[in-house]
Amino acid sequence: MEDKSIGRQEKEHFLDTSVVRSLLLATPIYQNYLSSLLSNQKLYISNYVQMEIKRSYLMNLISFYFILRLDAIKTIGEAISLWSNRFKGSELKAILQFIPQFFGDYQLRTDNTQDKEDSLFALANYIKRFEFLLRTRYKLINDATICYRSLVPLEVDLNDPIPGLRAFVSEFGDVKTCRSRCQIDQFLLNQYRSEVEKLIETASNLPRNTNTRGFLNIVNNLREILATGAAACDCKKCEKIGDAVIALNAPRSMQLEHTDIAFNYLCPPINQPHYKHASENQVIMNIPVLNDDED
Amino acid sequence: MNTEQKVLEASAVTITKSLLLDLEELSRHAGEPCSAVFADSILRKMRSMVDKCKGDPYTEVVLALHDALAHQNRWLDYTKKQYKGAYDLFLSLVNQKAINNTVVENSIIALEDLGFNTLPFSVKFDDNSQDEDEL
Repeated sequence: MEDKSIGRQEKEHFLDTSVVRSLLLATPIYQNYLSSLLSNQKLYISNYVQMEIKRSYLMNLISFYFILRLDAIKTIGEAISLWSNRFKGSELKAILQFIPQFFGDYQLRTDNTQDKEDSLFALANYIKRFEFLLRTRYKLINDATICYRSLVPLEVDLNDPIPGLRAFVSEFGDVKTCRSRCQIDQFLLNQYRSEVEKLIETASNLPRNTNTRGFLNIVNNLREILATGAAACDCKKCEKIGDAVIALNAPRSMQLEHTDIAFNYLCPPINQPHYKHASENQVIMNIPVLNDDED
Repeated sequence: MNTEQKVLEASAVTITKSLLLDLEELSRHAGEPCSAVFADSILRKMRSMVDKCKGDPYTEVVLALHDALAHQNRWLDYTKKQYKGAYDLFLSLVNQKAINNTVVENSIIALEDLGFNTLPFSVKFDDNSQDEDEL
């Protein structure tokens, strides 16, 4: 891998969601890899990046909390069974990886009804700490989308965590209200319209393959937004173009740090400096990563 | 503050004070086999707070350190200097009559600054699953 250490000392770094999530949740080997490249650097994220992590991880943790709290659920094991049988998808499976590790460390038994209350308390405590560290660990840049979901507070009183958790889920899940207060349409259709058009033009010259697929899917959604206008901008659509939003909003003076290959196509057309890090699998298996198009 | 809460906080402070002895020993013996004696002791006391002192601010700070130490026996990886830092932090906490949420948050940041990973759990997201063709 090319040595980027000199350039790294001079730049500020804007972290994509995948990098932040890995710094918070990856295996020690991968965390060490990222930390070796990013520690002692000026690291920035945005409220939008925080929102993506809350959407993909924190919301599911809170949902599991309420599954476990159900009167009909007597043990951690029953909650795990219900979760694994009824919910699928990468983000939902992530909870199944977390739960055994977490409760195991507390010596809480998955088959013991007496451990349920302690489990709920320990989990609420972790949820509160995770949100706090996500909110405070990195410096913030301005979020030009003014994502309202990202501003929904999570205020957990550990003596009575239910109201705070429920209020968060309710407000975060109220995408109609959140959308009515954000400016994603202005962001895409006015502020960064020319950049969006450049991305669409770039995509028109690319073949569809495993490397370009993610980028092309994003561009298809951007194309639809440009064609339809503000009515096409909702939180579901925003989720599909999240990498584009992050690339567009990244300060051009900063280097965007990412692991998703889509950024290799999103960044050059808009002159956004970027660096693609090896994936967790590549680091664990010691496979080199190429950054041919890095600035 | 009602009587019940005073009793609860007294109990949490008492247990937190009892951690100081273990932290002091760990700051002397980190890296040595005998450090297991004090790691076992401190982890048991920390876990007892989940049962006995739910909702107490001291418990919140203690569990942050618990997670950093307990997961995959990472208590073995921390240094004497880090344990001394944790000792100093908890000593300052128990010397306060009560701590509020701001103190809790500052304490968690202090633990992180000392190098304790209070979010040690590993979760893997398969992002490729989101890249399915949409056409």
